[in-house]
Amino acid sequence: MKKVFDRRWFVSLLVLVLLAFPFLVGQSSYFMGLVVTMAIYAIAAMSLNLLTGYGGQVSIGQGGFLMMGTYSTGVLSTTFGLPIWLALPSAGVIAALVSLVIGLPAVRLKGHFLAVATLGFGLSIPEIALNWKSVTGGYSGLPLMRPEWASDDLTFFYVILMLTFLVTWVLMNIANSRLGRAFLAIRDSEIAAAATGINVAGYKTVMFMISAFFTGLAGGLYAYWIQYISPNDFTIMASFFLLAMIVVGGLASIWGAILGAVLFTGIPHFSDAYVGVTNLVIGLAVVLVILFRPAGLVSLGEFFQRRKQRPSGETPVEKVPGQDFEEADNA
Amino acid sequence: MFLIKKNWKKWTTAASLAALFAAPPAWADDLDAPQGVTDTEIRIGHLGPQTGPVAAYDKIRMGIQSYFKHVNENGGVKGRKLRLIAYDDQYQPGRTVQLTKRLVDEDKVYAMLGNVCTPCNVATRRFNERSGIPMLMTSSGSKQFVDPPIANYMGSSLANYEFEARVLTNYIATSLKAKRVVVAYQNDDYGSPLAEAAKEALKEYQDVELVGEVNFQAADSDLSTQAQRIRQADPDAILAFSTPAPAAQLKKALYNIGLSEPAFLVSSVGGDSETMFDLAGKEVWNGTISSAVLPKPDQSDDESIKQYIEQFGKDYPKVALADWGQTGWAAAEVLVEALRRSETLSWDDFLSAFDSFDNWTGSMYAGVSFSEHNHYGLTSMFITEAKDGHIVPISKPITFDPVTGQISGG
Amino acid sequence: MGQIVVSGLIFGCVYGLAALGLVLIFRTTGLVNFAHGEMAMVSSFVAFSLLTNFELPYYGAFLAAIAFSAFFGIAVFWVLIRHVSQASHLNQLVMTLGVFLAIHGAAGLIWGHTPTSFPKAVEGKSFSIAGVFITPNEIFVLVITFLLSMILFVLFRYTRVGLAMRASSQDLVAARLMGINVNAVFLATWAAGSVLGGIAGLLTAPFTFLGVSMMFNVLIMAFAAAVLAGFMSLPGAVIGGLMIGVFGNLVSYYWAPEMALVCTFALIVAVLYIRPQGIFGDAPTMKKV
Repeated sequence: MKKVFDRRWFVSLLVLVLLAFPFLVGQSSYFMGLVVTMAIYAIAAMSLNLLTGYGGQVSIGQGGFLMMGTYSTGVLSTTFGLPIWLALPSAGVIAALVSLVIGLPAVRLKGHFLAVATLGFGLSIPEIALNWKSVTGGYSGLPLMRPEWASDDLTFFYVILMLTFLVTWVLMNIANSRLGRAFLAIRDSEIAAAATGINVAGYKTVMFMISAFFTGLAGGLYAYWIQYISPNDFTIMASFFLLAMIVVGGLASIWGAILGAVLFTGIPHFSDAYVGVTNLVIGLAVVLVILFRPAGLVSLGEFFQRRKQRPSGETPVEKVPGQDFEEADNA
Repeated sequence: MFLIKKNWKKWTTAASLAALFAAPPAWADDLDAPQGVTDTEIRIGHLGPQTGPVAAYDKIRMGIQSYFKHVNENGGVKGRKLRLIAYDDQYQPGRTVQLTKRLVDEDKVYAMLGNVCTPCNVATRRFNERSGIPMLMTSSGSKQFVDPPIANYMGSSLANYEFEARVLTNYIATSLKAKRVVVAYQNDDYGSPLAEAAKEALKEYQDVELVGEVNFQAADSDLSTQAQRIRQADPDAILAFSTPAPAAQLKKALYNIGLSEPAFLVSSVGGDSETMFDLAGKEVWNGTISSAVLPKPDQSDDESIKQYIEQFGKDYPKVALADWGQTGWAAAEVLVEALRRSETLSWDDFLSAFDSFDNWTGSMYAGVSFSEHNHYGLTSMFITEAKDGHIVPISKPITFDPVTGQISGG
Repeated sequence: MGQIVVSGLIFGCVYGLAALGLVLIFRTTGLVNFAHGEMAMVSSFVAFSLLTNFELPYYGAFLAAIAFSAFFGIAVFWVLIRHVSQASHLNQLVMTLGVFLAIHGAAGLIWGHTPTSFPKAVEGKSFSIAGVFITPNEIFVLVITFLLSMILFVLFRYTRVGLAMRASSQDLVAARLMGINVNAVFLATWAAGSVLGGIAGLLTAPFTFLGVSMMFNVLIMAFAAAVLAGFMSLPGAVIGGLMIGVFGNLVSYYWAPEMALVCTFALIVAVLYIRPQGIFGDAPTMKKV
């Protein structure tokens, strides 16, 4: 806990920069949108990291929960007239309830079997959204209005920023709580976890629900920011990218998820000027990071930090590929 | 926590970059343009998918790029070069909204040309109406962008979907005299609205019956169940609304189960390309009826088509000529003509320059017309038939009057 | 009904062929290769340029493309995968995801995004057997799929190479101690898996058209097939592919085409709920506690 002071300092600086951000970029709606997209992917990636990094349950269908969040928010707020502060959490709850459907078989499934079951979910949600015309509007999508008080981008930027801070804080606490430790125990060995009295099936279900809740919430925020919902956003590629974000950023680390989200949403900003190179650049970035920083980008930060302040008495842990689960949880 | 510091650095660079963009460029005073025009260039924006399953539409961008190059090599417009700024929205409306802000607010483009993807255009419409940026020759046939007219939306580079559906159903009912029709459509923002329009149009003909309806996805390659359903409906004519690959798959699947009797009609997006003979097979595709708004490069001695073949063939030697490149080129021709006709380059002046287009034939299109009540731009098309590896026109131009809704000619 | 089942079987073969390579690589190296489909796509493009630019005859181009596949598989393994062979499965999976994106992006830049036709292995018109239409090429695909899965099954079970592959998959250290050159075994596996992918690509291209996105849906269905079958059995992967092909077609015909994908995955989840190790999978054993 020696590093707490430094961390606080840097976190405060980051928060300040983010709060001042709109004025640093002359209230540019585009640059605010870039940060908003990063924030939304960060929430989704942190939630996935809780499930995959901490809990060891691989999901290739998180994009499905993002899309569920967008549509739930859209339908609740346009069809049922729910105000935003009710629509957003309800979208999370709906996503969490649906995650039960996945979570139920997932409790029995492992590794690649779980991966494909969730892949199926991620593929099915856009299909259902496209074809359930009476509710989703099908191909024409759903327009969505922000509430009056947050109709301009500047105000809503702060709404999203505040919620992102809140969610980050909550997820950090979950990760460091009894719950988070139980997840880690399940990841490392289900049998050992069960032997110590952890209700493995119960915790796995809870894991899925928490992760789906926040991902759904992120989807809802995105819908309000874009103010339009379509079955073309959050395709299966979004699910792939989310998984890549947490591995590239750093598994079982809140900061890792944030870094991954920032990297993946930041790359297109620079690569879009060149025709058709975005996928190639992202793919190469993923390959290089996994080859050279198998524990994710977050390990880069720790590496430098440890070199600067060795006296804490910890010996630097040499990172061995394959054991990347072990040291990342104190990140 | 080194990374956060690094992050912060990144933000400051982003911020200074943004400040750079935001700095007012030197406008030419006499032209009075709100943004995007400097002493040397006019910036035009374009959004469409450059990667992913529907990246074939990226050829619209290539067509625009190629025409801009052609214009720039011949002296430019109003003494300025045209510069195209295009981003990849991957056919995702969320990205389109973001990138529209980037083009309008950061890159400060003067106008946008030929933006692809109906839902993407729906998602950005509110923003564009507010900013007033001229939206030209939108690459969607959806009526909502042109009728009722929106002040800053001018024209679409595709034939209007409703118009096309009516032309094709009229052909089925009056020329083919078919009695039993099956509608097959791609289940997305392209095929579904056309199918709805066609079903509506079919109701006008009392002796023509809709005997079946099948749908498929753009990425489907096995259309055998759809073919089987069509066979069971026993139609005289099959009306397909589809992009090229599934249209070819459907025709092949029908052919493979011995169903080559009924007339096969495809909307222009899926049928108006000679690559169809390659995809489906020459023998399979022969006889297919489609509609078109642009003449084929090899069947016209139109001046602008000659220029297109020369320039586009040089710029993109590996890309087929009779394809979306033509659409982009033709849309760019309309833009450049409007720029030339506009006295100053204030948006008001520029947009009202369109009203002077009265069946303008200087472009690849048969005729382009705009007026206060007509923002369609493209109001004529013709029927084509696939014969021996070529797509040949089999009708005179058919014209649609946006004010009365009447269709004439053919 | 007959027609629906037969065309389901043919697409099932396509999925099964792609699944064969996936399962082969997984069995031996424990890695799920997301780039499998994109590697197959590249091989198909290589064959295509040999056919059009160098005007090779079909079978010449076919063989050359397969040789290229083997080389490509070895290169991907040696340059990239080898370095993560000790990493966690998730890292390996995301690594292949990165390779998938990079190949897809590069292919788009090189070959563009317009689909083109690709010649069939066997030309010929469709004919009807007992009211069911089938083309000679479709029969060829059925036969090849059956033969390949049988050959692989025999190779894996009864030859020394197969034994070495099985040994490496069970216990790397023990295999090494037994004098098995594990790196050579892995190389051979990647070459073989990639060749299977290449064959799948070459046989798929006439059905899906040649294009950079041609293998995406096939790969997803191949995953589904492999998982349905338990990810360990080679003939099982083909049977899984056939089941998915037929099931999807039946849903498409009797209910709605748009429900085919959703129902296929619902079926898989249902099957896995009853048998978490897949249809042909062994009862779960505890490798690591």
